Amino acid sequence: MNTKKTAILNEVRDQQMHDVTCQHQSTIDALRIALNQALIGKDEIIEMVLACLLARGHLLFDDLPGLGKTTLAKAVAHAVGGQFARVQCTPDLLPTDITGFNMFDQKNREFEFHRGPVFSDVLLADEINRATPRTQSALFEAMAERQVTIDSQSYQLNQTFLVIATQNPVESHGAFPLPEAQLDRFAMKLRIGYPNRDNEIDMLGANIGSADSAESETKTVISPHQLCELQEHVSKVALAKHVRAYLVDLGRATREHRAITLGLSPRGLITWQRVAQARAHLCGRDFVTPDDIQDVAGPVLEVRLSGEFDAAPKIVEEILAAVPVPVHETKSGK
Amino acid sequence: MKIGRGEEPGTLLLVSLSAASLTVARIPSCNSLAWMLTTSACFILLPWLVWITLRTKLGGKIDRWFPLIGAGWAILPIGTELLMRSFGTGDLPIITILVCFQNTALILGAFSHHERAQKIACLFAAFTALFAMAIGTSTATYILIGLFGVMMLWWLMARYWERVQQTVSAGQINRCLPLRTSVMGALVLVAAILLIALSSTSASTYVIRGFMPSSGGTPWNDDFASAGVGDGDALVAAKEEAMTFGPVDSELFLDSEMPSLYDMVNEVYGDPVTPKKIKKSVALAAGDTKIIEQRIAKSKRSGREFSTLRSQVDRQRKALNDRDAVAMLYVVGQTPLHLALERFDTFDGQEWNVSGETQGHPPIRIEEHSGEPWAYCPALDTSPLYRGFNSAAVKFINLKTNRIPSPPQLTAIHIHKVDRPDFFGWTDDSVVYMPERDHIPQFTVIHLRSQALNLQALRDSDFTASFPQADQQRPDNPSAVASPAEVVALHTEHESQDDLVSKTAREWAKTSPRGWQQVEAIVQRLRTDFTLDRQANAPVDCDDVVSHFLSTHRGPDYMFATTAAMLLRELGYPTRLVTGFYAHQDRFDRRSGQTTVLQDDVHVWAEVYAGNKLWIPIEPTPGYEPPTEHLTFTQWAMACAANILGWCRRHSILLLMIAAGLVITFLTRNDWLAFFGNALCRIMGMQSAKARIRWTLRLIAWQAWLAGCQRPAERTISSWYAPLMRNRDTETRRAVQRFFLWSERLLYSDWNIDNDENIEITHACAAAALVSRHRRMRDHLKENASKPS
Repeated sequence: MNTKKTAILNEVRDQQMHDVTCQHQSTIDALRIALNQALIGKDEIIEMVLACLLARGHLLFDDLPGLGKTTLAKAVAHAVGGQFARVQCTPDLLPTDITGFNMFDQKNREFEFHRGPVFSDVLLADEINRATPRTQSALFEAMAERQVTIDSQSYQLNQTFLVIATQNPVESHGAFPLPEAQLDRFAMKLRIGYPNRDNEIDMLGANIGSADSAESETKTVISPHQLCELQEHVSKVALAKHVRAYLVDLGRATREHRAITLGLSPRGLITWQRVAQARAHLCGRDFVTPDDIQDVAGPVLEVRLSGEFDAAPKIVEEILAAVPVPVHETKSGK
Repeated sequence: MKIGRGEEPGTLLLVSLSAASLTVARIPSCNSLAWMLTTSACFILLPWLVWITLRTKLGGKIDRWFPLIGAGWAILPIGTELLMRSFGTGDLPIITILVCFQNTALILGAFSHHERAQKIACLFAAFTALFAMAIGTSTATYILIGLFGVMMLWWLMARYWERVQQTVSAGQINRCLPLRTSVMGALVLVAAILLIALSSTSASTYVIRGFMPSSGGTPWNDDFASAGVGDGDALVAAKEEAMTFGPVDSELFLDSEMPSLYDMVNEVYGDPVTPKKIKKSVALAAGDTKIIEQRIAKSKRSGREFSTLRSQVDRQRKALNDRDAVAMLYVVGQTPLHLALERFDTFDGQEWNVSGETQGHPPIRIEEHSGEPWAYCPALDTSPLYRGFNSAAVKFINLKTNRIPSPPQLTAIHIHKVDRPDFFGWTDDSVVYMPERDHIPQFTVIHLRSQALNLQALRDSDFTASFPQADQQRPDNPSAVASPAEVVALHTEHESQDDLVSKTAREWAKTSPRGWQQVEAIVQRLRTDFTLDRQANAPVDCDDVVSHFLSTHRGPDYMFATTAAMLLRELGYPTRLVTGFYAHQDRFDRRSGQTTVLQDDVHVWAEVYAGNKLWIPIEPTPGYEPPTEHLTFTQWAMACAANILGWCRRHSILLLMIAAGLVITFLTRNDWLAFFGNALCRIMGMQSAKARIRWTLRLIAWQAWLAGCQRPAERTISSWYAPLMRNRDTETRRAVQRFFLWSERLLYSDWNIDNDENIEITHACAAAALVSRHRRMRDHLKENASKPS
């Protein structure tokens, strides 16, 4: 996204944020500040992470090593204040290593369920594409339905359960690309990218005097319960009928685009709507504008559009260009 | 039904009744009944439609546009009237004004839920009904007005009762009706005007003649007037309907005498002056003496002359009630048209005379065409100058003569049922007349057919080269038909008293080759360098009026004709003087399709002999169009081009200014368009806060379009326009940002505006309009070197 435009839009939204009364604004601000401290100079990425969080979506970081994927994921987990679990995905990782397993207790003469890392509020699946498809598939149910079924027994996960996965797009040896079904369960794919020069200088400065090279611990600013409330609130943000129609037209445009083999699914559309609602809420509005839809289009679509690594942004641009933005007034009736 | 309640249709019904009474009253006087009834039905029924629509869901929307709808409806009759006038029919201006009143009342009646509109509607309705009563004559009008009166009374009672109720409930009594100063003032003004109008007829006639159009006879006449101040053309209207007032059964006309040609010329140009003592000796060549003597003798016999020495015409004596605009003739056909009545061939320096030298016209014969008798007077053989025919019809109205006003190159005459050749004859000055009659009866219609000319062949060569020499032998019998040589000799005869005439003639003609071009050069010179002035007569003791005219450079039209004739004679071109009428194209009446010829249209011009019995009229007087020449297409195109070029040259300064204006307008077109957009935005934004935002958004889009950075369909409003509307001033920037917030809210949410937000919105819209100037947007574009992405 063009930096200049982003700056101006941010300015507009800053203004909007000050104007619109929102009881959750202070909480969101605190969250925003906490994440900004963890990852310096990546405001837009953090906005997207927040949108994903408020939309109850799962997040996939797709970037080179050392750019702060894990740092940000951990910061989110700490800031939300829930239970954090981390899985380092390797080819020998088994599904049960993630979901948990039943173990026969010799003493009690019965099976006892040992919970896996999915029973947490934030699960960081590092290098997810190094796990075998079999293991990756273990996350299907957990991500989509927030429950796991082991030996015909379903176990509910936390309501705020969030998967933050990372993957390295360049090292393809020994890696298993995520299947479309798996990708569709992520709300968005983000690329953090290199920080700019000034931010890197600041980053180095912040690191001086800290013996442990590990990141400083992020403070907890929001409880899982509060997050649930926020998510509930976000789901009520209004979408006018013609804005919904615009969103549907965009979805249909993905299905008709010649470079896309598998267009956006209805589940994908719902996810997009939720993320746009979250984005509107973050901007302090109680209604969604086409701007919100366009702003989140990149991350939401890129995770779903199979293709070359660099082609996705261009395709997204083409899809957005194919559908005219509604600029007439809203008609009565939702 | 309760009259006076806004919810009920009482007011509109009342108003409709007055409109209906006006419509019925207009029926006898309207030109097109179908059109009048259709428009009246529309005018009455559409406000009912508005009234019904106001009570539907759309009501609020329509009510907002009340002032605009009201104003449009009120002035609509003017538009329809102009439309009808362009088709040649129409109504009196006063009727149009009345219909405007009626429409105002109707539309106010439709919006009668506004209390003020209701009151004004009733006032206007009463006014309309009053006028309908004044102009209406039918029983139906009176019945409708009576009904209106009853309803009006009812309405007034209802109003009064409402008022009493209000007063009682308010616990106080207003003893007198509040009369505002403005109402009193208006009443006093109306009373004063009525007083002036009614107190003295002549004074009021004078005062209101500019306001009330007349049927003619004054400069204020109106084609569409059926009556008014002054009489004019209407007095001779008996030609169309037997019942109309006309000269036949009018005492006025029985008393009046129709002017003879002589009287008429004297009336227009002043009486001829006879010098008390004439002493004149002319040196003549021995051979010419006999001819001159003979001709003078003939001239005396005929007893007709045209003097160029005349007393001043006292124009001031014409008062308003003079019938100075009575038509002499009506002409149907192409105008301007020269209609000759008399021709003069000898000139003695002061007076034109008729020599009586007959030019041997062939006898007139009758031929039938389409069952109608036509009198043929083909004076000539075929000529290469002939090109097509002209037709005209002349109706005698008030002219006492037995001569037939003839266009140039007259070939045939048709008078209904006149089928005997002995009814027509030639006068000795080559005019067709009706010898058996003292004068041609009034209202006789004469159809005329004449040859049209194309003078190009004449211009290419010297037509005088083929003339027979004057010194050829004359026949012994002087009463016989004059030979061509005699015709040439007679019509080139002139008396050179001083060098001025011959010098001037040679000076003016020296640049043109001999032939028609020299004739045109002389005529053109007179038309451009001399001024027409009917008062500038030559002094009574003037011996040589032509020299006098050449030195003063001004005079009446007969001096132009005389001078042209004499100058051309000086150069050896045979000429003669013609008096008659000039049918002026300005007097064309489009309704009747005819041109009125008045006494003022008496005109004098000259004719040049082109050989072969062909006399070609020339028009040396400025302000009178030369006789129409029938051109070939090429000639026409060339003449058009020359005219356009000439016009452009004459108006070069004006054209330059217009061009400069256009260039400036073109260069500043964006500013103008932006200005109008801004004005429209401000006007339309007055309705509500939402309208303000909506129109400001449109204004921004308009400005962006002017700046060349129109929003692509796929870009959102704020992402496209916000970067183009950046501003350094924090306050303005914030206001603009707020504007985008409001506009998004308007477009994408169900938004109800709080009253507190109204001022803020106004401020934000104003700021957005301010920073969305197209020049600033273009500057931003240049700074970015590309459109915002």
